[in-house]
Amino acid sequence: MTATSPALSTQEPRVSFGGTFASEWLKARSLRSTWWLGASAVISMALITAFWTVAGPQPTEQNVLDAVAKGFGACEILIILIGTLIATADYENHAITVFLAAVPRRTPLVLAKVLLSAIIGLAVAGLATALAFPISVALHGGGASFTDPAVLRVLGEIILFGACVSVIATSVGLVFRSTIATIGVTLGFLYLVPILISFIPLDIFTLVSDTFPGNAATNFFGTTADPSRLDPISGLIATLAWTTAWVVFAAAWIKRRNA
Amino acid sequence: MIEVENLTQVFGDKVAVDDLSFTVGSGTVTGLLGPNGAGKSTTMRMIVGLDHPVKGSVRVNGADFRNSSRPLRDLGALLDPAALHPGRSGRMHLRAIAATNGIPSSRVDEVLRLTGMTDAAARRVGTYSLGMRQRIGIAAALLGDPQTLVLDEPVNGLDPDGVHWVRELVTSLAADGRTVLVSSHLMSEMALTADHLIVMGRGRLIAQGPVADVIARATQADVLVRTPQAQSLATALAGIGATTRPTGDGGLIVTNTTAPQIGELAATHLIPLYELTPQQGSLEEAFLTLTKDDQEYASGVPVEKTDGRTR
Repeated sequence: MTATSPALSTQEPRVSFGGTFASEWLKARSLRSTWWLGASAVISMALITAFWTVAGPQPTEQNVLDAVAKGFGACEILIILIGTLIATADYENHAITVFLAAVPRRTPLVLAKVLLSAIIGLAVAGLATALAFPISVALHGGGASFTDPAVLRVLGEIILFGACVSVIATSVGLVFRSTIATIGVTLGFLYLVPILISFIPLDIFTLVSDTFPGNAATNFFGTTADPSRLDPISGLIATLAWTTAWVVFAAAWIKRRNA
Repeated sequence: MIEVENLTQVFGDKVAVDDLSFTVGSGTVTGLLGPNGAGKSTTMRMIVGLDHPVKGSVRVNGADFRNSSRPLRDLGALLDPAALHPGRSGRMHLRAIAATNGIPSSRVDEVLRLTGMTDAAARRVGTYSLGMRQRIGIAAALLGDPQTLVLDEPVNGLDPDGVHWVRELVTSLAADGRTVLVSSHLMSEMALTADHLIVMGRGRLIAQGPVADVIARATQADVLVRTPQAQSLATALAGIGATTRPTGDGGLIVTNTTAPQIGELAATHLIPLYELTPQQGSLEEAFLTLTKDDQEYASGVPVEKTDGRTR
């Protein structure tokens, strides 16, 4: 130990979005939970996809994609947990105060977390889907092909949905700060609130209920669309719109609120 | 420099900081004192931009810190030594902070060396003692080689060597022309470290100024006198309005006058003096006097048990 502080020998330090993103990536990769949850998401999707081939063993495109969709259900929960922890890991021990003091404008910190969450959501959902789909095809003995544009659309939307739920969880986490509360609110927003809204017997509420990501994504998972739900393109637009709304709300909330 | 103007913070129906104004100059160590609940930490959080005041403003180095483009260069802060993720290593915590401001890893190694944490830097923070967390917190505050430092209770949990090191560090940082604001409950530590004091109570400013001035204003300057003619001297002193009380070992404590006046009076009356010692009050006495009406959580008087022990 020395009692004098040596001067910083490099150029003037400046806060930047790139640096803040690098910081968030360092933080996420330095926690074992990130890797365990990511690996669990990939493996659980593969396993559950394999189990669901038993429910529909005929080698049809619908059965192959159904099994992948069921597998994604488990993957999605774990992606929500990763997205949650990107926000709440800083809050549950007050480390957020150190990082907000280093990035006092705050919005770059929120956007860095959101971007990291989107990338991790994309990567985990992408890896999990890239593993689960061939497993489903192999166990069914065929039925679908990567080269089929309709299949590619389904797999692409599953991966995008993974990124969206991760970003929504991160945004909710920045607002609610607690891991348990964030998981509850995120799942409630995705799946419970649209059901409650749909109980109101007015067309406008039915339409609003359909736009919630949990409902809007219904037609992401198959090549034959359910006509009572939004079509895949409209569903994707609605999901992206809700995700953006959560990000904007979280950024405004963090900017205004005491740390 | 830190300039606080009419700062007010309210939590629910409680006024945590009440129209507080002070300036912390550069080149000095300024101590922020106050009893529990006085609003010290809340004030520091507003200086760092973590809490938004309901009224008033804070300027760090002449500008609003919340808009700083070089925050770690402008202000280094240690507010809560527990503000670390237990699953991350000390080095990784510092690297993550440094990355936000484009500070290279070599600087992380420098501050780890400075704080004596190099050997423990690879360990997870969850295994650290309070003192080690304090050192990592101080290392984080120094990362950007800041012009201004805000340290909330920096010696909490440190061993004597660490306390001495923090004392030397803040003194050297101030000597370097930086602005240093330190809070502590340890009056003896503040008396050794601080040049200026800001004393708060119930969110309000009670006193501020150089340490000696604050002590002098809040405590009575007594003079200890020893003489073989105590009664004669006491009578003479009473004639000029001074009061005396015996110490029990043959001495006299004289108040309401000064040592030179006592010496001159004794010479006039041909009273020999064996001792004439001005007694300055301590910072602790000054603190207790200044804050006696502003204790949010005043301690009770120990109750005497029947067997003579207190409980």
